Amino acid sequence: MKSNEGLPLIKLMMLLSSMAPLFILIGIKGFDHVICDKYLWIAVSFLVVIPYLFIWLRIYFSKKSNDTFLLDVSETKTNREYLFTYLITILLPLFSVTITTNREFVAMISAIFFVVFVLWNMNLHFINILFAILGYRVYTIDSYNCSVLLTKRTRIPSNIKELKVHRISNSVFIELKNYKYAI
Amino acid sequence: MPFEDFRSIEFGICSIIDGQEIIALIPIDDSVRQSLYEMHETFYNTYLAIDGNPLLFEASEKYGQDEKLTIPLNNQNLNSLNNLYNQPNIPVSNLVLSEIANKITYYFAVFHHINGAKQIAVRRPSQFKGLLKKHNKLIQLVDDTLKVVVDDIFKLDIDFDFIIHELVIDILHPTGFTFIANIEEEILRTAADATRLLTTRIAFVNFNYLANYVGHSKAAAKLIASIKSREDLERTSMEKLIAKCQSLNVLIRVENEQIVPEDNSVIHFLQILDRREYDVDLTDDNPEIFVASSRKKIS
Repeated sequence: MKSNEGLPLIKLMMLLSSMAPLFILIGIKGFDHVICDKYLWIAVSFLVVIPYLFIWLRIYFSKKSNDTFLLDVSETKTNREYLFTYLITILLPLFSVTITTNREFVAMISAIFFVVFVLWNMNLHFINILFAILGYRVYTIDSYNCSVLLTKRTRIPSNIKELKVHRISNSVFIELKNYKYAI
Repeated sequence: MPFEDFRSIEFGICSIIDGQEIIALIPIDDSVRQSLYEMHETFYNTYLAIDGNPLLFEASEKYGQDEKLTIPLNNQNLNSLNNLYNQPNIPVSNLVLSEIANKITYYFAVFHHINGAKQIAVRRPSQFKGLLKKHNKLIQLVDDTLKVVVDDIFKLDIDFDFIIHELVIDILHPTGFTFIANIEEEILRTAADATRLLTTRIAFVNFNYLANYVGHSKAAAKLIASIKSREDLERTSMEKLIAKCQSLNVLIRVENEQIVPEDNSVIHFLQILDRREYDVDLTDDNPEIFVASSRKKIS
């Protein structure tokens, strides 16, 4: 029986958007020996803007369709360390590679593909600098196949057992700021 | 109950895939929520319109299409429904729905009331083929919620078979309930133990002897489940029971001060205990003996 994660394109876009800081750093650093800045920045712009555009569209349609779920958040834990882990294990190693030949360039692109593949299979598409910049914190919901809740709450009080949230993907949910959820 | 009284309404399915039961939620939009709410309203409009108080569901009873029944959720034969109700976070479906539409055992709706109460309304699908009516291809990429359409591609049923509350289940369509709860198999699975336990309630019947037979007979197991739920078992008279068996030609013997039905009379004997076998003697011929597939106490 074929199965999928639901909204695979959104999942891919979220993964690509998680790589946005890397793409921007690569754009700044440049690949002088391989590709000119003009084409590099066009590529970087697409790789940064399009994924975020799709995420924005996904949230828009989630709100429009009222694609909400009531999550049991009685067993959650914060995931504060994920950005640091992401920075150390993915961003810096890839950024520190010096590209001087076409072959190294292809190796770099392949490495990014492998990273995306691994993150995809580990359901780590919630790692997103934009959400972090906007103040969203990451909570793992133990009773929900370790799905992830993005919320601006600094903590989830013990008296709150359930939260109504929007679905971004089948394993990432978001409590939108300024959205009036039912009581 | 107004639509606004529900904090959230979610939709899900139960399907058997590769021999494994899968329960999952499916994203819906507000048009589906409204339809599910209307099914909920229709259920209670029909349920409450039936005269009298809800009767306790008995597996051995033959019911009509619409009944006003109830059963405690903690009934030992309702483990699957108990688990469904108490599962804190049902995962969102990862399945390709168009491929499993004809493998769906039942669908359900979770109603979260603003006062904190939860109900799960369940229905065996009768018109599930062609369920998926998605958006056009472009929109599908960012929004895969189902949509209710006005033509006959997808139709929810008009009401639910039963609704699970925290403590009890309200049953409107017993056939759907029996199928979904798989209650006959559950009763059969626990029948032998349940039969042995009856010895503590009627000491003068050798239920240990019956346990082996009951464990292999759905009909006997359902009768045991019904007998077990009776509150007057302890007041059963040995003399009256023996007399009734004799008048109905049910073959029994008494060993060590305990009644033991003969092998070919076990079902008849259990039917007597369950008040289902009776005689009518209105002619000069021998009394007529009947079995009641459904009965209602009038005095």
